[in-house]
Amino acid sequence: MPTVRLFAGMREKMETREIAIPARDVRGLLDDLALRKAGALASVLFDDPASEARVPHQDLRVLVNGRSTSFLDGLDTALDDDDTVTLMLHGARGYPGG
Amino acid sequence: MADLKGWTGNILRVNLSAGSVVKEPLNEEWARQYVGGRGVAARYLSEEVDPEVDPLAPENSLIFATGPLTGTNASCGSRYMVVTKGPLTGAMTTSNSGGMWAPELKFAGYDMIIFEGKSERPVYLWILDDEVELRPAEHLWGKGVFDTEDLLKRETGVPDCRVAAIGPAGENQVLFAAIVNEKFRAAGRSGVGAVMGSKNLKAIAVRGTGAVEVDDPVAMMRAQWAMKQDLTEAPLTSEGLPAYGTLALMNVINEHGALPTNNYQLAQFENAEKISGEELAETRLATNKACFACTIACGRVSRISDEGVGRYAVTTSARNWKHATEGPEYENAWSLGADCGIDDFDAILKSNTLCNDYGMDPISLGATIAAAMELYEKGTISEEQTGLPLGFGNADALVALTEQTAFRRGFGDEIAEGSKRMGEKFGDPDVFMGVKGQEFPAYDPRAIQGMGLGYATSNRGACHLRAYTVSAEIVGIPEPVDPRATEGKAELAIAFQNISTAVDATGLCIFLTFGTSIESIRPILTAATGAAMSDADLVTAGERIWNLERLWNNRAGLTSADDTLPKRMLNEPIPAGPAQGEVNKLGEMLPEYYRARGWSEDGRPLDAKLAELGII
Repeated sequence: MPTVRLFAGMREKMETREIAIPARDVRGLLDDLALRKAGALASVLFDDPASEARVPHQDLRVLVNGRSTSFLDGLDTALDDDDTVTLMLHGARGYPGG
Repeated sequence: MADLKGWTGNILRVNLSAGSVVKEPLNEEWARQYVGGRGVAARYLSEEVDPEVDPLAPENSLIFATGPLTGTNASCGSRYMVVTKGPLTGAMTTSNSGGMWAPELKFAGYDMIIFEGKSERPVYLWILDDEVELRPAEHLWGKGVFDTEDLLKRETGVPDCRVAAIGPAGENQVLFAAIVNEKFRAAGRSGVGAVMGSKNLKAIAVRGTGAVEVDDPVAMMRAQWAMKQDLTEAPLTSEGLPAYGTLALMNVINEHGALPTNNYQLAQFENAEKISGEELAETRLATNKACFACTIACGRVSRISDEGVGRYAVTTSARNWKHATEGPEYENAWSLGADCGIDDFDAILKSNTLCNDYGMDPISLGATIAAAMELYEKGTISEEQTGLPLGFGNADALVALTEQTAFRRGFGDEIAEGSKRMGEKFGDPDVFMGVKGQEFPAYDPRAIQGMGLGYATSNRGACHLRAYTVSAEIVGIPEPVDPRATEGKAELAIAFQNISTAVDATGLCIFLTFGTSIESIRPILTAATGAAMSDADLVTAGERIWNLERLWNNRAGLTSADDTLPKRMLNEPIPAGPAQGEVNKLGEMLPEYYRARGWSEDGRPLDAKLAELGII
């Protein structure tokens, strides 16, 4: 199953560096994570965790094998068992560095 | 300066050859046109220094310039810019530092100091409000930055003075020598410390008891309140940077396959986690630290080891933390770490601390050692020449060469020239990973196309702070932009260049922009100075400064041929990792960049653009 790698704030919230999640796409993976760690984690995965419309949180960046899902198929990006998913929270605003 | 507030209205002109100090009024017209700091100093340098001057000759000037918001209550108003012709690059360099030194200069009543000529003997400049004088510094020559600061506080009898100094590297004119204030804040890049050393100027110690007057204190507080709200609400400036510092980028960039490793031969470092912000926070972080008026506090105070005495003991701040040091920043941990294949955090902290004490830029130092390691592993240079085994990953060699370089001893004398000159000397110029003679920072431009364009066109040589397109290409702010695409990168790089230049000129820290925007910064500037200005005017001022720097560089002999990247970046695909197979496609971006800038096809600002910006 896909391996999820976590850093900085995501690592703190999940209390682990790495976790394997049985998911076929990114949407399913985030849903699974939200169920495992409800509350603090769900609120950083989705804009509105209670809503059925699963809109990823504005600070969340998801990489599949090092490539942002913004340039793949977003939440519909398919996952294979040997894929590595990286979850990051950036928290930036404005025009960073500019 | 009758009308324009935020400024003191005074500059100091110090002729080191004559031993004279003259107080003169700041040029108000230039202050209005070029905002401050980097911009105003660039205008002075343009007017007063021949672009073809030898950077280490007395005819070069060395300018310390604050901005109108430096020393005010604006968040992060701590910055000054050192502007001169850089010995590493031959270009106009603009090297920025924070801490407390620049506000103190404003409190003493001065916006800028222009050093001209060369002193016959070592001197330092002492400033206590109206008392300004050059004093002998023979007794300080040869000493590190840390001792110099401690001695000056003692001998002046003013323990709360602020000191900016060079160490042995500046004295020995290491081409990437830095100027360091408060021991750990540095105008680090392009060799500004070597220029200071060439003038026999050891330090500037300043104490001011005045204040900075602003035009509309109520409006300033309101605008300031709004910006602080931005910084509080942005998790990066309220949580991420305080907790992990810039070193949080180590894992982020590595995950994207953009972390240069072993002198850019690879783009991922298998042991990145061991030198990451997370590792520092878990094992070594004593506390975080802020510059003047900073509400972010990204600085790191780090223990050397669990017991306080590591493999490389450092004792720099005995009063506060017995065995602690400051840093490292992401760029330094990368250059001294991944780029050299080194995962020993103690060695990185030791080398980084020595860079502060001896006054050297850790980016260029680490990158040049990495280039030497490549030469060594190729067999181009031998242990007989280097005096020590120099393969990638050798932490002891890193620390030893840091020492040797500052004093130009042994093989350190070769490192002191930077990797461009070193590679040329040993017949392999292609080991130089940089632009205009200055080494790259920590983002592989093959994996992040916009950074390649930003590096190539940076006026001060390769630099991440001049066009931080990483924000859009990696972080996805203000909007996600594909790092592997080239479309739109010219406009993106220009936007970042103009805005960051404008922010630099105000005297604020660029890190503000990780939580706020020009729309929040501009009202603070207007309230401080009283000069009417729109958001667009401020960005245009950034464009004006950028063009002025470029124009001066052209006159110094730099051409479009200098706006390029090493062959490795253009022709050698990344061998493995997420960005495997990528090269930088600079040729697709650079012509569009010149067009969008309003420059000629060979990269020269056209008269129409210069007239539009009021430069001619």
